[in-house]
Amino acid sequence: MSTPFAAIFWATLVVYALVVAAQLFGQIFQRPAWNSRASYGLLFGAALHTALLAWRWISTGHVPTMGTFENALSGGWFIVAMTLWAGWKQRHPLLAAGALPFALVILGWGGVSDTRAGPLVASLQSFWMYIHVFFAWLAYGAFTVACGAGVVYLAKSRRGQNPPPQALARLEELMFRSTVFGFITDAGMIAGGAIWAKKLWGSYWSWDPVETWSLLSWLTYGLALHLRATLRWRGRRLAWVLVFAIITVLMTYWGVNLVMTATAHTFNVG
Amino acid sequence: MRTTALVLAVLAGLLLLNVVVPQEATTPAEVYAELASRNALSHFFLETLELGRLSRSPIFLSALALFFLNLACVLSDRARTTWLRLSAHPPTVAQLGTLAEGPQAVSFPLPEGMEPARATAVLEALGYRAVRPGPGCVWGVKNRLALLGFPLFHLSFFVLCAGGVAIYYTRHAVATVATEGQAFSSIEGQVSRHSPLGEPRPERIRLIRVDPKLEGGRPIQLGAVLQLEEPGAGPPQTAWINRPAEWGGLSVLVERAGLAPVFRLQDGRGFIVQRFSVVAMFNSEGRPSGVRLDQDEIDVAVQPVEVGPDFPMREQLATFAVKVRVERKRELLFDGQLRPGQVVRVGEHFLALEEVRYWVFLRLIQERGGALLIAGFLLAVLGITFRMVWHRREVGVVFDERGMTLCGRTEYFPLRFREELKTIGELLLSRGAKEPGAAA
Repeated sequence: MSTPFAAIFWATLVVYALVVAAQLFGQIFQRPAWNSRASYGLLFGAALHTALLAWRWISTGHVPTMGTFENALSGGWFIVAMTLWAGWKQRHPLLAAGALPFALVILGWGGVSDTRAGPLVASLQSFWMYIHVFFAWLAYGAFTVACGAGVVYLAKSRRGQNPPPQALARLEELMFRSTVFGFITDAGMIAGGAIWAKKLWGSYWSWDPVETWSLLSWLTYGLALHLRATLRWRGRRLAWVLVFAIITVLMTYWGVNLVMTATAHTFNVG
Repeated sequence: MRTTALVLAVLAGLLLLNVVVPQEATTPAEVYAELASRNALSHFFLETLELGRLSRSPIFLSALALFFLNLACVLSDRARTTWLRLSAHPPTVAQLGTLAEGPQAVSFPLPEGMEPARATAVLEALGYRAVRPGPGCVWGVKNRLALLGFPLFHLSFFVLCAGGVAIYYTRHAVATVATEGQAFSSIEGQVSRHSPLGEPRPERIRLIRVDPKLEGGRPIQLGAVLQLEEPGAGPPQTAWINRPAEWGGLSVLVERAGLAPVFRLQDGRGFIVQRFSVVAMFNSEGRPSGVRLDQDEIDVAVQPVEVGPDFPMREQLATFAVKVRVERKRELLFDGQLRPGQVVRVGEHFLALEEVRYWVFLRLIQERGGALLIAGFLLAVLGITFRMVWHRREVGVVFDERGMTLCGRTEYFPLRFREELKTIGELLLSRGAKEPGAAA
């Protein structure tokens, strides 16, 4: 990436890190003013991030979906956008403290990988790739918001804390709604990926480790929905389930590429 | 309900094993064999329990069977309830009264001019199907059919399963290499999977042309123009990476390409001994592949050119020099470059490079059931969206001496529903205020 691009990229990460720090500071030291400052910071960071995404898109001529860096740029944007939306719509300014660290780690990892731009390779020139990636980021964004809401719920419902019951109920509904949205979009991601795999490799499903992890992740969130909708798991129990469930998403996106070589799903194709 | 949770947890656990335990399909054969024979325990897990082939192991198949059995039980168990609720019988006045006393209820002062008939009109305008179970109340239901999402989502797994079974029994996969102009059979080549139902009907296909596309020396696309050779087959199709050529259940995928020089071997008097092409690629030992002309024990090998900056485009083929090495019984006869039209002496023979063509590596897959699989995916996404996004809401408006009370029930999102009740209430208030004298 060019120097101005790199400068804005790393500045965006610093802004996000400051947002998380400000929200934690505001929460720990009971300074609500810091939370609202952090919200403005998040808006500013998101604006920078959007500009970076557009820049990369225009300079490469394709949606930034090729390689670790572009995936991080797009994926991080989805997490930030959904955090912003959920925080604003559900009136949970603290949500960023729970969800943004994931975006930070993904972006940081992407930033230190190969960031060179190039033409879209043949294997990625597919309508189904866009469907697959778009739904993947919607799902991962939603699961991250669910996990972030779970973290905030656990923090707010600790012994000794007395938050208004309505605030906890709103958080709980946000956890559930995000999980529902993530579950549906994750299904879309798996379906789109299977059709793409058929066109590219000739087989809908080949038990590739990434495919298996994504199915495991979908099943885990399906189980979480079942526990909530049918067995009435609520409150802290549900929050813990969603906080742990994010591990399956992290493994699908990262873990497999880190620890396994026998996968055709190398995100670092650039 | 607990059984479903248990079955899902078991399946999740088995999938976890699938990625944690080394799998035969994704581990190099020698490494897997070493692991499987390392000690009695690893042999027991990998071979006896077949955890090394987990997706085909009896344990996993039993868990899947249990999953489908559970699905069938849940479906039959819920069928009657779902059917009854679909019919949308309104609650009785007494039931509505109970709901109006419940925690979801929101009370408003009775707006001037508001009466049940107007509330019905307002609810209908909001997309509710409204009826009046009694004189002082209105009941409305929105997304009544959302309940169908439940059986739809559960049935989708059976459709997926049917698609999977069909594919399993019909899939026949072959890999082959063809050079431009060559015809080949859809079932011959390196068979990577035999269909358990026997070989499918062979199709004869001719590779007409290969179209590699590069940008700045980087390969960005590869196409192969293919013609099905049977009466009424229609025009040729191009198989691109990500866009296979398809004839019914047969898909032809293109994977990679290279150069295939066409040679002519002549004897000392100028008679053609043999005409042949060499598919220039590296063999499994990393050496350039070649052709042995058995009669004379002459080996002709061509140095492959990777698709990249040095790979020639079609317009360059007529003058492109290929590196050729010719040996007879390990005796080097020629090692150098040849351009199309050039002739070189190899022992008592002459070798002429006639032209340079492209070769392409193709995968030919014949299977049935893909449409069922896609239908299953669609049903699953539709079902779950129908059930949980457009979830069913029931709203009751009760008019009594206290004023107007809105109550109702929803399944998943109580807070959002309460906000919706408030919005409906405010709308009823404003409609009443704006048109106080309006007739119902």
